Amino acid sequence: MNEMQLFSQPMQIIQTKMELTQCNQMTERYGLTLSDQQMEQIALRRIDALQATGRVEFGESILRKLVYAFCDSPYIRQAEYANMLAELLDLFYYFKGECMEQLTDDELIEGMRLVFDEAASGSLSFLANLDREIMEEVAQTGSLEGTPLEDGEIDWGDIDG
Amino acid sequence: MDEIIARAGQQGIEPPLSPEEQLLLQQQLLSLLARQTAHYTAGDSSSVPVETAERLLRSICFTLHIHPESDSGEYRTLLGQDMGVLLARGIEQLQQKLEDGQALWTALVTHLPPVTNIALRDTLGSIGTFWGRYDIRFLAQEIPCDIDYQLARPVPETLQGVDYVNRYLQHLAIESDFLCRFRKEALVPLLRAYCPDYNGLLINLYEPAAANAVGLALLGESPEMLDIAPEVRGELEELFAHQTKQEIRETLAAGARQLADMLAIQSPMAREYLRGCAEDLAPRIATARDHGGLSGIFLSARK
Repeated sequence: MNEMQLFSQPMQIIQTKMELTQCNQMTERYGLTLSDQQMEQIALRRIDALQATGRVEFGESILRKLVYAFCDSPYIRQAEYANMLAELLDLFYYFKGECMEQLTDDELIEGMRLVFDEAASGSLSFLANLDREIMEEVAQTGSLEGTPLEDGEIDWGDIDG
Repeated sequence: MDEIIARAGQQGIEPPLSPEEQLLLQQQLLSLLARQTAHYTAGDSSSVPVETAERLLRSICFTLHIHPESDSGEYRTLLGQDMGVLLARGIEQLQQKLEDGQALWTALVTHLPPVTNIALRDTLGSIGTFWGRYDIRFLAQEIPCDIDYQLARPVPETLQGVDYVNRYLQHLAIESDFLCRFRKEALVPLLRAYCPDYNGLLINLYEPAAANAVGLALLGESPEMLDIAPEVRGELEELFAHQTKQEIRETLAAGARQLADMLAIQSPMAREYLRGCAEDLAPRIATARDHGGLSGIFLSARK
């Protein structure tokens, strides 16, 4: 039985694009906007990411929260905005599953933003290679304190290489 | 298509859902699933693993008596209805079943048969935790307890959630009531003859007692001591000697009826259960009769 076939992909794309259109109105003030084509790509990427991580999402997607959380990051510029948002989306679903559903959406997004800005200096590969347990700890405490990220103990060479 | 619908209408059968109706029903279910998922995660998560969503959807379908793969015309009445209201109504019905089941369980544990075994006690203990652990709102199709004790007549695996547990308890209550009609002094030797470690192994206690009691009833003997001495067994072997499998089944059914009368078993369900168990012996009797006798079916309790 594959009950999840109930979902209509075209409807999901339309809904995601509507959400992103609304996000554009808010992110304009930070110099960040998505074109119609980019919105479509992100909507498709969301479907792929959910499938890849074995998840389903109902109602409003997580994108609005991600956009709101990251739009004022000093490391996100218009030129990379669409790509970065798509990657952040992938990472969000990845960590959500990796952390065994122990983190709420808000906790995880806050943790991701903290690591992204404070420890990774805007490097998505740093975030992608972060140990699950560290992410869980940061997300749950809302702080880098007491983690290997606190004093830059993680070797950038390992991550970038 | 129109012809099929017209024919079905004439026969009083609801024609199956059309593809459009199926889609509408799926959309209603999807919308309800989205709502249930939001409640389940307490709004903390916009997404859930597919497995979680499937479990939530199975619960909805179980509560609303829907088979997701079916296009049965019976579901037509659901179209356009407020599924939230229907779900709430379904949950109320499950709540009533839960209360009925708990009452049955309480009656069972307060009137245990004179002889029990570890599996039976553990199972009853585990079902005792079911009432508190059963997730009636979100995972109503699941059975959060361990049911190890094997019944003489198993519960259909198609049953789910509280329906499964209640049916199990109904069967167990029938078996327990039957065993309660005998004294411990009669049951223990029989069970020892059946399985020396009847307490520790996963065996059903009702089966050997029912078999011997039916055998005695067939011969017009009192079933009270549950003992079938070798000479009595010889009479049974003679009785079945030239019967076909179907005739054996009929003889056993008659024996079950006689026994139920002798023991004043009134409940139609308990009488039917006993008849079913007796009839289940037919193939074994037919085989054993031709291969050394019935000593493995009708047991001598006293050595």
